[in-house]
Amino acid sequence: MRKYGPICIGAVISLLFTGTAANSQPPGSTVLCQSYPDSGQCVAGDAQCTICHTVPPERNPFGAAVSAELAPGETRPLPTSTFVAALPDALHAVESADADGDGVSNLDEILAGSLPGDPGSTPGAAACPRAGSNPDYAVCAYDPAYAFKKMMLDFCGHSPTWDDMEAFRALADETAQRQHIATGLATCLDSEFWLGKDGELWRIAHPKVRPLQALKMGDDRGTIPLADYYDDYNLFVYTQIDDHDARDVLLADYFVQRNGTVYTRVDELTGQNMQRDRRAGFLTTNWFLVYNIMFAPLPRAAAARAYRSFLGLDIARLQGLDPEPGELVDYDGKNVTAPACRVCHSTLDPLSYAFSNYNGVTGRRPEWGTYNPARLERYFPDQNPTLYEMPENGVVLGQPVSNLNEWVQVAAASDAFARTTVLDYWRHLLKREPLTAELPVVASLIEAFRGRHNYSVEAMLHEFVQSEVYGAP
Amino acid sequence: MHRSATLWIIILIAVTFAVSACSSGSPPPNADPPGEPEDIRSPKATVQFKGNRRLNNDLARALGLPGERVCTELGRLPCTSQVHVITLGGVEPYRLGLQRPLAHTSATTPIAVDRVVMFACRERADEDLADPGNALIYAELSITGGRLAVDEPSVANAIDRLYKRGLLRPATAAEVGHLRQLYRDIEATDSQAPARDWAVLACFAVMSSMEQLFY
Repeated sequence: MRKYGPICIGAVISLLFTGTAANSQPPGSTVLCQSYPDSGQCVAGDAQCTICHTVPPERNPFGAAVSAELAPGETRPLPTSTFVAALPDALHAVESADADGDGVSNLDEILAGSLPGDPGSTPGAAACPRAGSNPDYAVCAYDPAYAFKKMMLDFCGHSPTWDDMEAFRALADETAQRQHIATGLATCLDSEFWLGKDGELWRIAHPKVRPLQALKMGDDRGTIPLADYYDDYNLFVYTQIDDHDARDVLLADYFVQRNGTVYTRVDELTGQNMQRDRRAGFLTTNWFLVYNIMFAPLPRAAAARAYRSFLGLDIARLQGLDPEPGELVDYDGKNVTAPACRVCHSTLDPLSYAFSNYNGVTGRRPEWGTYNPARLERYFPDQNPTLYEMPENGVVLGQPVSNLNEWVQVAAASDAFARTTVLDYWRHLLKREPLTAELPVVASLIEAFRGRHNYSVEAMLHEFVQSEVYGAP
Repeated sequence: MHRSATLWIIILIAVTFAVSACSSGSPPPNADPPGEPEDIRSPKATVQFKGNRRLNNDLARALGLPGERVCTELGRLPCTSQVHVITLGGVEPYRLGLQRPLAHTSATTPIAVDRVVMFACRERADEDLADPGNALIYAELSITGGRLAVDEPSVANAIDRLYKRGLLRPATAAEVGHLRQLYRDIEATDSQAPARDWAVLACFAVMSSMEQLFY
């Protein structure tokens, strides 16, 4: 119960304050994005619960206004099907109003990506001054000198020298300067600062790996060595460099070794036990399975970690909830079918089934981090009989999958994966979320990443660095 | 007056000087004259603090120091990669579980920055003044009895080198004038080595400026 306790407890607390968990309707964000596909909320990420809620299921003024228009006369709580059918009309009914009184209509806020129920959130598009000048920077336009220095700091970790800047300024025109920036970026992308141990790519990986030195095997061994997470960093970095396919972070059936700044793909690696045909990149390394599954028969934490790290969907924040219409089965006897728990578990549990035959730290050490189709029977005897009826097939992003290999195929092909990858770099480089006016650039980068860049992070970064978002002071 | 007290006064002067250059109370050196339209400002204004790694790298390159000589505490612990990592915007994911940098600089960040920059500037100044023939920044200065001939062109050249190496631009006439005045202010105290103190603090003023620390 410990592992799932916080989710259920949170939902129960919400229930106590609001009367019924059915007040928070997980498909709401999905329906909103279907109604307003060009909304900034939907371009830059999964629509946030805070469009309608303060802390779900408590509603903000916009949520309250929508609720008043939602299937009036129907008995509350509304069945999910009624809620989904009625929500578009309710949203349209309040478009022209200004629920939070900030002077911007609900519709304009939804389209711009700001929050129509929060007066502190407005489109606030960064408007460029119409007149005037700046002798030092090309404010509101791509400033090559500014971009050059910023690129050097971001990717090489230091400023150019005075001589570098003089040579840059002496270039014939902006085209030549942009080419110089591209050449410099290519060099910096191979630098120790960017891809070396504890470099910038490692920093992007930290929240995904979640290292814990005390449990580390291999180099820098900890006091209770269980697995070597350096392998996870190495795999992550390899998939982000040299025009490698970033989807391999989920799809790889190989491992990666590092020597300095050189990352080399290998088929087998000491300390990694997973059978090749059951590998799913980052999600089946020894560290990921040992740390995220541990002794859990139903590895919800592993599934939730994967969902958050690579698809940008945090179930603890009610993101990415996509309940299956079928019956939720309480295979491990944790009472997940209780109304307060069902809100999340109707998505989380089907998301987790595909991990159920992957072993954490049960059994002997050579069995850690392996796939075993009889895992539940072997390592968890004498449990609730329904545990052994748990299927391996589940659901991710609304699509049925029969095992983890299919799970990662769906995930890697999804909008959510491409969006999360691009936004990882956006946030790392700009230290902020996209502004409303920048949302089309985000969408363009995602489209290019999936299309002409063929999932190459470095190609995406080249385009990013040449954009006004990056190069305008 | 004790030497430490003198040093604090000098630091106070330098900080006052540095802060005044950025405050709204007095116009920056290249500000528009009264009556002229102001320079337009970036509507985004999304400058970033360089953080521990970039700060160390830039100080090392600007002041011609090996990275490990930029700053140490207790003579052996590296400031930016060990002692002040979190304060300077770094992470420590392995033992502390701090996987992302703090969202904002902390109350002690300016103190840590000051210590790092002061240490690096002291290293540069002492090395240059000990071996003027090979000086990187403070070359050809005329120093007699610890006092600097501040109006000589070599002082303006040294200041210009500071700006070019640290801020990637030449010093303006006003900035040269400010740093010359800084020397006069220092000399007016009972500093026993005003030329050396000035070399450290002129470097400190430039290398701890917003223009240097943010990008």
